[in-house]
Amino acid sequence: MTVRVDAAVTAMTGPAAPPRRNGELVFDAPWQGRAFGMAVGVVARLGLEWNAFQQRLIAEIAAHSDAPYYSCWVVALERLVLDYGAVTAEEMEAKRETVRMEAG
Amino acid sequence: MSEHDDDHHHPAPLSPVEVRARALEELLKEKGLIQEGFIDAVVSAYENDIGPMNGARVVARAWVDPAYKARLLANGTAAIAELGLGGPEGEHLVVVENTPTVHNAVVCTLCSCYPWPVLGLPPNWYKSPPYRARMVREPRVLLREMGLDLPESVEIRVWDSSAAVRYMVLPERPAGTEGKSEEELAALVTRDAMIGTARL
Amino acid sequence: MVFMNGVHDLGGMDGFGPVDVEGNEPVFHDPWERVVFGLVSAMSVQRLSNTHSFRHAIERMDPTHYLGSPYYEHWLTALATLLVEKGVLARADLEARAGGHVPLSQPLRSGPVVLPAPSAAAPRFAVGSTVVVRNVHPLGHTRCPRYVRGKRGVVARVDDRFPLPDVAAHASERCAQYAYNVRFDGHELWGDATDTAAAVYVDLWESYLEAP
Repeated sequence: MTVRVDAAVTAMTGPAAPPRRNGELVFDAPWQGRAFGMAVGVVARLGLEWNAFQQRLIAEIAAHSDAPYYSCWVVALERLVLDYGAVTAEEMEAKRETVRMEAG
Repeated sequence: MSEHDDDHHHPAPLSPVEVRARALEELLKEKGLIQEGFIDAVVSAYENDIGPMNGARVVARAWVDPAYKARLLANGTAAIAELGLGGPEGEHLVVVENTPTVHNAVVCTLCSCYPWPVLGLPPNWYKSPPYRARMVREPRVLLREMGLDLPESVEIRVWDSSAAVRYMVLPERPAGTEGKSEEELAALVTRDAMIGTARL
Repeated sequence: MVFMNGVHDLGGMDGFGPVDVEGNEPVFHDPWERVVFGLVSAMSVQRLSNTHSFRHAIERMDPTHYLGSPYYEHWLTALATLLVEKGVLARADLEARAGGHVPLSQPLRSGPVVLPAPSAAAPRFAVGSTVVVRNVHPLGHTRCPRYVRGKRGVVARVDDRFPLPDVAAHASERCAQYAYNVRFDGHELWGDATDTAAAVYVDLWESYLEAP
């Protein structure tokens, strides 16, 4: 499937910029790449501007400057989907519990 | 159960953030907010759009296909067009080959000319006065500072992109990569190796 | 009168220290850089400048401004300079809007320009020919770096005819000349200095070169 690249995503600057090495996006683990893709997909699906996610990302990074970048990314995405009512807090916690159990 | 079954059914425990990420993904899929395959397509698009992966594909193709490599060295523009690449700052591309005794490095002393279609936009250091001033004058020392230590027996050729031609370095294929697929090989190629400030 | 041995012509200049490689490199460091990138693209579409006159506007920057400013500030300065020189913007308006001084590049040199001749149908030099780079110091734009002027090299490749930037930056005429990739021995360029490259290959237009 073809995906249109949103310039707003690639143009993020400062602490909110995704880590790159050698000009390429760097994901230290597959879940990070998946989190990246999820954010792009959800923003588009909800009909939002990228800024809706970016602001939450910036706020999370500012509040937890020592936290790893993609941890902040996941938290920002959780905030976004909760704020827009796509997911409820109860659903989120229940699903986490399921995943924890399956992972052993 | 055997150990093997244990490995199969019980992967390593997830970190808390991975639990959250996975939970999010499953919920979003259940609610139809993301589709199967979409995430992979997104990551692939962004990784490929941000530059050097295009050049990496060219390099990998040259490594596995000697006839392609010959065409690439003879006419870079036409050869990258075979892979669907081309456009501004790549209308006249020359690819120069590294060997065990020859190392190539690219610079634009006068400004910042760079082969966009294969490498994307240049990094700041490539456009900086120290790189532009020193690469034509003392490349071995500069490369060592940048992490590439070349013995005196290796000849260094520096290419100053002063006119319409743009240059890309074809790095040597690393040892021990026989049997890797073209896609796996492309993943080994770095932008810096295609500029000439690193070897693989 | 502006002598065009500008500070941008950096090949071989000493004293710069280490190359600073950023670990995390955004394409643009600040939102204003993206704006500049877009404006410059738009200006080129409007045919207010071409690559050559744009580069030359950067080359005409005050040397300390050039060396002391980030890359996209070079673009911004060139953009503002060309817009003022083309009469699209008045400098006073620009500075009023900006709320202060807006540094522009130094003016284009005045006086008659002797236009080089276009190449003949066939290239003048062949692969393997020895050539010498003419010791010229043009007042306008050129793509002949100072570090090769007067030096002797060997033609390694003959390319197509391209518009000579020395003309294209200043006039609407196109002067098509063959460009050559010339190999210079490290010692030829830098004398007995140590740690020279085995060779530096430079792309040079036909009118920059002469037979030895």
